[in-house]
Amino acid sequence: MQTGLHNLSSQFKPYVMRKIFLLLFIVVAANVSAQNKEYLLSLEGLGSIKLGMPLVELQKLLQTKITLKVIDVDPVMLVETIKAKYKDIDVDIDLIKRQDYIAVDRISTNNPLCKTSSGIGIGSTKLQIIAAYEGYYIDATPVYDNGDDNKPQKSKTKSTVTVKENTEGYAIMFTLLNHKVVSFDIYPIFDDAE
Amino acid sequence: MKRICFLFLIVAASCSPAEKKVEIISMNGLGALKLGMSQAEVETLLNEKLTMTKNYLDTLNGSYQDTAKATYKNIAVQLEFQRSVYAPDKFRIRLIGIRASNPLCKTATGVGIGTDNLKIIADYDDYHVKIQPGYANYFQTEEGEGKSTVSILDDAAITVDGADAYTMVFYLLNKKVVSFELKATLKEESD
Repeated sequence: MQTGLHNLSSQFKPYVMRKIFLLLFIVVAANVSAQNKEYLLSLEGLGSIKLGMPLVELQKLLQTKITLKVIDVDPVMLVETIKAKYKDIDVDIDLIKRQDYIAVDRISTNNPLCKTSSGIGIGSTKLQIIAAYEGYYIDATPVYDNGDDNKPQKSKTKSTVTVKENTEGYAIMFTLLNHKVVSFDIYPIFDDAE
Repeated sequence: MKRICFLFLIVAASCSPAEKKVEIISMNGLGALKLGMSQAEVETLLNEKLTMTKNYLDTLNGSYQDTAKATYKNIAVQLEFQRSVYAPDKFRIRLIGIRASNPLCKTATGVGIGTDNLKIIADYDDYHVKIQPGYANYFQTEEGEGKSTVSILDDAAITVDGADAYTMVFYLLNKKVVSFELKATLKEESD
């Protein structure tokens, strides 16, 4: 009898262990997926921070009160940049004063946790970006800095790759240093601004 | 018999068609055909009188563009001309566009008909490059499955005031070049 019970127990244990590991794997995978969504770079924004999002909603999302020093004070100034913490990463957010409310107008970060759905992130190359965004409007250009004579000079190390779905709309600008992505900006582009 | 065969070989070799020469595509032209050339200079080079498609240039006042089809070293080309008025009753007609789809045309690094889009990007890494779906023409975009345009811009105009600016445009189908166009925005000339 005891031998029978022992045999049953020894067969049952590995089955239970496999089930526990499977459950643990599902829980971890779900957590990782949820985290990835929070750092997902898209043409609409970064994770839950969306372009056009009102300041009131942004404050709820970041769980902090944002004190404006410029656009709330000066009636002429329309844009203000704030630094914030979003899911433990540093972001710069441009806020724009619209007719009735203040909204998110630009999101910038250089955190390696942030990636697009196709895996483009810090360290990606220009060719990887272009291959990932087939069918999009892409503008890849060296950066021009003002030289000593105040004339624009082509940078040998810095460039940008801007991706958008149409001639107007939201865009992601990847900034590259020595051919690798070092930061991202997401913002709206209007045709007459180009 | 050996002498006859040898003689035959020499004659056959001299009759074989000449090897087709590659014409180099550059930012400012195709081979000896250069953007900015006057209509007269182009006609001298091609040894033919050009017939403009819309025939604006001979009949209307003001500044206009017109096109002509021609052959350059057995390569069919479409040429775009700009008539610019620079003084009262004085104008110049200059070449501002060359379009072709012949595989004999290649850049110095070998970009030509059939080249993959990523090779173009890699070869022009230091340049301003624009990519868009469809075939971008002057005033409209020709949309279609698999169509895209890769434009390489010479940004010399940014660094030198009023300089001529050149663009090399590749039209691709399913990521492979099918034709190209060289374009120029020429600085205004004075008398």
